[in-house]
Amino acid sequence: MKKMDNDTLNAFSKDLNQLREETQDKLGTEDARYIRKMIAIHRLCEISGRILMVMGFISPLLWVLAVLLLALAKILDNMEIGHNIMHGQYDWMNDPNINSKKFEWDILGDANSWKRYHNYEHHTYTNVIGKDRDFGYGIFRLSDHYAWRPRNRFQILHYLGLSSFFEWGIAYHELAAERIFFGKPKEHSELPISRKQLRRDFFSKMGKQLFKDYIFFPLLCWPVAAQVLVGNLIANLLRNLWTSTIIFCGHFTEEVHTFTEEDIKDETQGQWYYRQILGSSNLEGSKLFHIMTGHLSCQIEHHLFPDIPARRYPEMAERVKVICERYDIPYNTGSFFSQYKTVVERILKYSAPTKAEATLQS
Amino acid sequence: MSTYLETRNKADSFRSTVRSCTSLLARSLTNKESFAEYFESVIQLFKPEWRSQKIAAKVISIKNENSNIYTLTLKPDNKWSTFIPGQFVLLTTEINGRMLTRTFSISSAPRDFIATGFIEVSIRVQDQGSVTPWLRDNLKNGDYVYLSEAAGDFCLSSDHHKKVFIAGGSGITPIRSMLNEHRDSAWLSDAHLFFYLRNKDEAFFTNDLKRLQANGLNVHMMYSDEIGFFAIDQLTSGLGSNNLEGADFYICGPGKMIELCSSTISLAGARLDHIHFEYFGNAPVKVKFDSNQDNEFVYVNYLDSRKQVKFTSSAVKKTLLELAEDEGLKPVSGCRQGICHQCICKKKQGRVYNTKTQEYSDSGPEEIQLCLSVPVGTVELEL
Repeated sequence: MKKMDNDTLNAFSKDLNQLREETQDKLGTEDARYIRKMIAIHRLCEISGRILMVMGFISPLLWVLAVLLLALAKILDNMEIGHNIMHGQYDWMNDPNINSKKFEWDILGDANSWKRYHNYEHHTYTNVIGKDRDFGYGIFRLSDHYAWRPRNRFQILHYLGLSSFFEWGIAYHELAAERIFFGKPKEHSELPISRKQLRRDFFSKMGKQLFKDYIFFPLLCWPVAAQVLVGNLIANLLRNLWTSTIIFCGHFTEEVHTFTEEDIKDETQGQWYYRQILGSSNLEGSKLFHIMTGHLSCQIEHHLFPDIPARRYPEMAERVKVICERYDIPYNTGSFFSQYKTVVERILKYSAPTKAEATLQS
Repeated sequence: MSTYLETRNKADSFRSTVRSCTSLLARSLTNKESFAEYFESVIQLFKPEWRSQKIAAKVISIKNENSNIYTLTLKPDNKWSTFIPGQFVLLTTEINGRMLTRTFSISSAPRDFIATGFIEVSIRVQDQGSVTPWLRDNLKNGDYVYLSEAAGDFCLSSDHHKKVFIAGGSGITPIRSMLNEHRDSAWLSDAHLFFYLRNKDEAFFTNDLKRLQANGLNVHMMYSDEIGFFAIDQLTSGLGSNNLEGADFYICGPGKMIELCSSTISLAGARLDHIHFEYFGNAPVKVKFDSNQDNEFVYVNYLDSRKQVKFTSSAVKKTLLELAEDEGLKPVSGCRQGICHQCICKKKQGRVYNTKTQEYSDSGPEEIQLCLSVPVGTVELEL
């Protein structure tokens, strides 16, 4: 991490704060109408998807369309709607149904559990080794800060596995950290609810999701239960693959930096901003692409301003780029394919031990 | 009789079982608390004013009563039940994407609501307020606002005492509802209304008052530029008697006026349990943050924990999260710097200063981040 002197950092954080304020002042009717429109589109996709799923016997093409619509609905719900609402981006609307405290999403992971580890751990300690378990999810070795273990050799296969079952990863993330089912309970746990409650929430949300997609709707459409069940399974799979791909592109591209706990000691706001930019990477694409990623394509802006409505990120990105140039800070962006390529390369690169470790092994 | 009750109880418990089953099913299938909430945004495509937990009311007309008081005539949808004269509603409106809520007394009578389906709320414009001027300047006939069910216990008691009404300015609104409801009642000719206004130009509801006067009500218009503030001799000369003991008093107006009135008349012999009053005003305004300016007391009320803590306003330098923790409460918190939104808490009322956005909150109910919020005045939290 390149050292910047304090005056420069202060000026830099002032620029970003000003951008934040200016954007905040613009929020209003347009943003409220936008998120309500997204929710309406989600409902229409989900309802039509579930209905068309039954029509599969007329033509298999209808079934394919239904699966795509349902997958689209789940992606919109999880990313542009759920993720962003649960970050508090729309709390200012004071609408009880569009509120970070209450929102629950169409995914296996319990919303409250996700908010605890994602909004707090990941967004506060972004890419700090040992603090942000989102960096590699305790499964992957993505930097030499982690000791190599023989199982890392196959981590590209683990990656494919996690991508397919991504929603299970999200559901289990906090329980793994607290060692709810296996291992010794975490020593300095800051869990604000009881371990029993955490377990109960996990099973309750899992039960609801499995009941809906694999019991209720298949049974409701009994003669075609199999095609509905398989369709729902594939829709969930497609959503898992897409969300995990986008999320990996946000923090695990080639140029993304990692940090140590030493780096963040007595961190100022400027240093925090600086770290968020170095630890994130953007994807370029059309408006539709941005919406489909929940604007996580603007991961840098999201990490700088996690509670500003995401639809504002593309316009903020133009300004952030200019600010970064002014202070000679690298701004990591690229097309989806070029960024994704470096993610796969990073996973492969760190499957191998460092030279020292390799020597030790032999 | 008992069989009737049994059937009704059975029907009730059946209905509540059905309701909890539907709600369980809604939560399992849609992750929302009700199907209505899930379908809300789809229904809004056809009926933009529709909200799952809210009662919409159509704006029928907006009429200026004087230079700073206006009356909204509203037609609540069928979900809204009815009200008792003297009660208030919470009125919610969307201003630039934000839902803002204020409390207003209903100024019309239930009998007129039954006849026309309309209710009236009469509103005083607050200087620098964010809702009261907006409603007057931006609402158009045919627009929608949202109403709560009516609430409040500032209502006529059923005793047959002589009734004395004392209103200050817009404090007349609940009293107008009571009087209009009983415009044909026999007790009206024995009742007195003392209506305090700053001067003659401010007078409003004059047509209503004339009609009530014709029906026998004793109306005393009190202009404080002529006679000064409330004093006991104004009351006794109006009533034509020094004996206040047998009368019921209904007082509504600004806080200071209520305190003055009720202490004065109780000293003069009115029975405490015969004095009914409703605080009016304290309506929310945007203020400049200057903690050195006044050394008034600020209270933080933790409603769920039933705690109240008092500070001098200049001493409040801490956030609500720190203040709550000092009290031994354990609100859920995370990053303590406004990133994670875990310490969100419902503020029932009061203004707070947000240290991150450097803005003052609205004074109505809303969700706030405790770790960023410094109380500006007295604040009530659901904590």
